[in-house]
Amino acid sequence: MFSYILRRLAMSIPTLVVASFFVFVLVAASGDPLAELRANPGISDATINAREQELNLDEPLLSQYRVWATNAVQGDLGESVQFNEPVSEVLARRLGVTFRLVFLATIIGVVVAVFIGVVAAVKQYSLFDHGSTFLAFVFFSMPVFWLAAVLKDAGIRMNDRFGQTIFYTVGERTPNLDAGFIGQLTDRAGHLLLPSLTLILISVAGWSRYQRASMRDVLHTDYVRTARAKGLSESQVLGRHALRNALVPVVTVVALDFGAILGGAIVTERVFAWKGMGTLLIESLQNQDTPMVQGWLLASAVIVIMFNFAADIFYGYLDPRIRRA
Amino acid sequence: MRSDRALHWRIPALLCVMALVLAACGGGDDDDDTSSTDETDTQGITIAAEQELTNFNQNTSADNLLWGAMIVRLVWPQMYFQTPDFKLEPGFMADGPAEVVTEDPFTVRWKINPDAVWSDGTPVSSDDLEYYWQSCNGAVDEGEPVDPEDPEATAVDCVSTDGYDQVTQFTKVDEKTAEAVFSGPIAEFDSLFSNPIPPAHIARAEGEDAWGTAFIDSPIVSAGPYTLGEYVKGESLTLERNEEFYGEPANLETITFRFIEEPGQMVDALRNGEVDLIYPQPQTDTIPQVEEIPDVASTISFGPTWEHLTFNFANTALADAAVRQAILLGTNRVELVDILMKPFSEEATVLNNRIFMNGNDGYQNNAGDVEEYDIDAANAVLDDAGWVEGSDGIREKDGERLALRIITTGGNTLREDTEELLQSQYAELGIELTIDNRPGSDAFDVIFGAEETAADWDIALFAWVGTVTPAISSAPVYGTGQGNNPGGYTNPEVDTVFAEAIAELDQTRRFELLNEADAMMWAPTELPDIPLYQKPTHLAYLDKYANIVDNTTSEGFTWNAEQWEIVE
Repeated sequence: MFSYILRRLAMSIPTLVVASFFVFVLVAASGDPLAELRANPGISDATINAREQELNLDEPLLSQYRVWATNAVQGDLGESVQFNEPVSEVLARRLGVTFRLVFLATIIGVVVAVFIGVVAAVKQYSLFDHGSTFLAFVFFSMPVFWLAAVLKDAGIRMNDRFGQTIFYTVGERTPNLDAGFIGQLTDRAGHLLLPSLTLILISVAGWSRYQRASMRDVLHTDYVRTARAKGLSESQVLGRHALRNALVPVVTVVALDFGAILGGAIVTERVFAWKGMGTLLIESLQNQDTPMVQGWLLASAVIVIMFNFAADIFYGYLDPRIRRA
Repeated sequence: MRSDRALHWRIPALLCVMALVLAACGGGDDDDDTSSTDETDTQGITIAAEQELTNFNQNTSADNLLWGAMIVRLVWPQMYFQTPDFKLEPGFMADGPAEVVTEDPFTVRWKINPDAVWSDGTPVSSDDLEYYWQSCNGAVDEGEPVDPEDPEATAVDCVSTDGYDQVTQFTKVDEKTAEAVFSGPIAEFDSLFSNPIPPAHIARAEGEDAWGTAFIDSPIVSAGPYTLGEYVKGESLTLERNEEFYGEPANLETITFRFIEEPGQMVDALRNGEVDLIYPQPQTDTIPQVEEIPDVASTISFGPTWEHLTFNFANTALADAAVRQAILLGTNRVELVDILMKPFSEEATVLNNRIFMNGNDGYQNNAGDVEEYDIDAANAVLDDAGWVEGSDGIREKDGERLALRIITTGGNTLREDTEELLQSQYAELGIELTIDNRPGSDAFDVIFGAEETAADWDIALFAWVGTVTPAISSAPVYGTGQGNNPGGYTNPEVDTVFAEAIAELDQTRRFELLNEADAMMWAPTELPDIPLYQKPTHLAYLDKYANIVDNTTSEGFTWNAEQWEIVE
């Protein structure tokens, strides 16, 4: 297993280097960071030249990339134009916010999706199967912004009915809340409910279909029939022999989705006013914050590569044949 | 076997619990400058703020945001502030109004509240006023004028140098008294120092760039009714009552600003009890939604922000006075107000003055004969001027089609709707109007010339904000060669009248002169622009709060926040 991990890690590094190069080059090619200065007749050439030197813009592109990449490896992604803060600090803060939102949704989503997929596969064409299939397609075809808005409205109505605030619609916590640990925990959980539910419903819709299809395939294999013939209980057949193999494709999809969604559950964050990675990208593009956009894209690339790597590891754990290949 | 099965269910259950705890416990990584309060919700107010301040010293051109001013004015003191009825009153910092000591040379004296003190114990003093003047007089350093021969010499970036740049000598008479000698009489001297004043002793200790950089993250000290409490960037900012305040202590113990951009989110947050007050950009759909929320007071006011069409005199067709006159007569301003403004309030009305707002002292209808929409008269003016209808229905003259472009801030629904209405109105005049918007504030780069394509526009739809200093504020908009006159309008007689108004100390006479200048610009041969209407503001809050009154001046609705209280 250890050599398998090393092999996978070795493959991730060149991918990251290539990704970082494209991130830098594409953002650099998207426009002149000093365009506004140059267009302003009140700014002297000397000032513009000084700024060019400061940003290494007077160097060839490859040399600029080398400086940027060297600094990035040391955790220095430059200074954000819009926040007047180091890019890495803003990224860490926003990534933390998105992580909190996505982590819970993914864990619950996986558990629910696997459960629904397995039961629907085992009880094929039952009422549960038809019902879960119907709901999966309903949620899968719903636009996220619409589902989020409906859940938000439903949450507010339920709060009105209960006479107290259970569901929150804005942000990740109540500012300035005077409450103990349990109070703070409840408050944060209340803020998580609606956005998490949005992500869970959308994720479960897709993942449960993968799980159902994968489980159906496995249930028709010879080794499952053999397991049953050996006289194993149904739970042992399903849990130990079928599910473990049926999880492999789902793990891949979940890992990739999780990596992508960490780059910003853009719509969900927007609707519930969470200041996470998705909102950060929009703000940075609007404010032409080049260092921030470069940092954001690099962080996204790292995350996707990291979760690909994690998926590979988990893949190898679930299916020993893969790590020997 | 039994334990095996149990384990299968325990693992996901454990994962879920861990996820919940981790997700809920996270955060706090950005709370390092927090100072949590002991308040409960009922002793404070939570406000949905559309913008986050970018600098506590919001007196720079880049940081001068309405929301920044509304927050900082509760922390840093002002000599004077604007009341909702457009009057200037002494603020916490002042000991009475500014006085003219001598008229020749024109010398003004300011007296500072003898009790005023910063929260670190330093007295609020004439040094604070001197530092403000030094930063806003348009000079490089300590009163030294900007050297036109030296392109590297740039003045401190101050939001407005109007008035301060006329001071030839500033004297700290004593700790609580300052005097300034002006180059000539300046009527609106009493508006100087009406922004939140930064602490000079902190700024001077921070060095020469302090004006723009020392207060980005914190005001450092307070001399207002509130001090900075918890500030989580991107999320919220809480002000706590300044228990050491030298004036009347504030009623509410905390004021929390939650940064929420979308008007729809603000309404939901108010409905769900997550905020107590909202001040969104008025939208026809959000107003009825707010009115349905129980126990909420909702007010619509028409402030000093007024929409208008500015003409670019560089366009040869628009340089023809007949075309501008025809456009004015053919612009159905009443229809625009009925369709765009009346859904907000039945009180909405057409604006017929460029300098004074409806309902304020000095306002009078200067539009005269050209006030009413008259499509026949408009067509007759164009016919007489030789603009004849072409084969495609668009008028032509000497081979030039009467095709104009209109530019505004793309994405602003109200303005985009205005443009579409104008398109249909001008079609009846035989004028082709093409919409050529730029996203957001990019439009101003084109209109005001910070882009290569500067001046590449014909008609610009945007807003000016009326102020309590109409002479100082309006002269740069209509004066020959002035920076705020992007259309290039020029009339030496108008320039002269504005110059007289700026120097006229008698308010009645000054207002007469300003109305005279406005009336001159309504003449058919002039028309640098067409005023349309004042934009509404929408303030809604839980009705358990008392004394909340909108202030549509640049002061904002927090102008009396120290007096807000809970009445139930």
